[in-house]
Amino acid sequence: MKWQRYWDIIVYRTYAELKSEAQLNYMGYVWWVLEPLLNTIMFYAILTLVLEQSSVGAISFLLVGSITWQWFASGIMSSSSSIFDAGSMLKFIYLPKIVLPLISILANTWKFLFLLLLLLIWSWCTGHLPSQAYLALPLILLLQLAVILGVSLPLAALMPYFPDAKVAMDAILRSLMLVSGIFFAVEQVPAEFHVYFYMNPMAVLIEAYRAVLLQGLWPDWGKLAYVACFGSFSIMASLLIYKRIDLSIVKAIHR
Amino acid sequence: MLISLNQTGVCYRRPHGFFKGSRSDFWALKNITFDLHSGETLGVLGRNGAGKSTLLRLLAGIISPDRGALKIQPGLCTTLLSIGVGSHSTLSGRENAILNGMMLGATKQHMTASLERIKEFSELGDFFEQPIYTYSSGMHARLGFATALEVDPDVLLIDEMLSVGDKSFNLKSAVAIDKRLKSGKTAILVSHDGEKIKELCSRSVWIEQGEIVAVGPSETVVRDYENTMFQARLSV
Repeated sequence: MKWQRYWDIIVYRTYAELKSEAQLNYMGYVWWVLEPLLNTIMFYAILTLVLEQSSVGAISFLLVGSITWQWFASGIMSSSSSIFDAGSMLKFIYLPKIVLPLISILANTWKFLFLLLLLLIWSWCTGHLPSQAYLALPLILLLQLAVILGVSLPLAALMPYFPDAKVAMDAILRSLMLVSGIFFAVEQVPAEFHVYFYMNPMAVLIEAYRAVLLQGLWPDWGKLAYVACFGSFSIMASLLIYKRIDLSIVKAIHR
Repeated sequence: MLISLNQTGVCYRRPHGFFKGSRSDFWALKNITFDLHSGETLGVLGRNGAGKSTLLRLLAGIISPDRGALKIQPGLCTTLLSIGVGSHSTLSGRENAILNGMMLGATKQHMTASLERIKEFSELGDFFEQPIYTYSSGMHARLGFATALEVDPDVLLIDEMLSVGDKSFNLKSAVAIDKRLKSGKTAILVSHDGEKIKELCSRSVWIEQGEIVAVGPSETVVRDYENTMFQARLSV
């Protein structure tokens, strides 16, 4: 009953967020599509013109990395300040705090699905037709959602206590982007660094997407199992955190 | 007995910055003890900064006490009457009424069923279907009040006399609140208006600097409060 109402609020506010973005800034959606495309073009230019080591397939390779990274990065960016930003509202009404990051992540995921559709169409047009490995795609998407939740939820709870964390997070995300294998394949990484490379769940996921979408191969189940553990453990830890801070966090929001 | 407070205190911790170590604690409420019974309207008096808003936040279940006990009957819905909190500027008045109502504790079905009454009470006419960024601030307030009025919590918490829109709507909203309170609704009313408290509340609590100065029949509490305020003015 209670949770039904909270779910209704999540759905309604997600709809409101998407609607206001579409209405208030005309370029809203366009930017969202443009950002991974610009990244792709930039990486492509560097790879072909500067490093002179490319083939035509590189565009699809880069697109898969950029688009799935976009879902991860912007999901975290928009949800991590969601509780902090809602501070003045939370002084008047009770909401389980977890509702706020969930709204941002849901709105973001909706926009990503549109990008994903574009990506699928692009890869079909360039000759990467669906294989039976596509059956693994929903699982990979679900795992990425779990990773996004597992990273965003603790960050959103932390932000009211340490507003500086926002700056640190932007810097970390930028560096993480460079080592997630968006513009290089793991074969280009020296073997002794593979352990560290695969610690980053996004590196594992991006590789899995490429295997399924571009090579028609099954993903590496062992590495995906690691991502599943990472996701479920951090989501569980987040739920404990939210239980603890639910009634005290409002006292810490100074705005 | 719906709500019971026993030696309840609420503390705000103000960090001094990451490297400065110590932090200052501010006890907005110190030792608050009183009960709220079913069907009564309890008045709360006190100067600015006495802790009235913190008390309402505590009772609304928004924050938890840092010491003492707060017992709220399980499943009890307490709502702080607030206007337009969490509204979305691009949604229409109709959509915002549903959203705000849900935020205040009502179900979606309840709000959907109340829409026509909200439209009528808020006197918005065709603007009800327009996005609320086209509204004047008076229209915002009217929509917010009409919505809040349709949410029917077990305990209604009201902070100050709400000033809503123009004179005529102000009167209309005050009458609606009075009617609600006189109909046996359990409520807590925070106000500076002694006459209003005496009219609507049988019992009152007077708090000052986070502590209770007096609890009792409104007649005597209001009289003592106003005498003290009057003395304070004279001695300046």
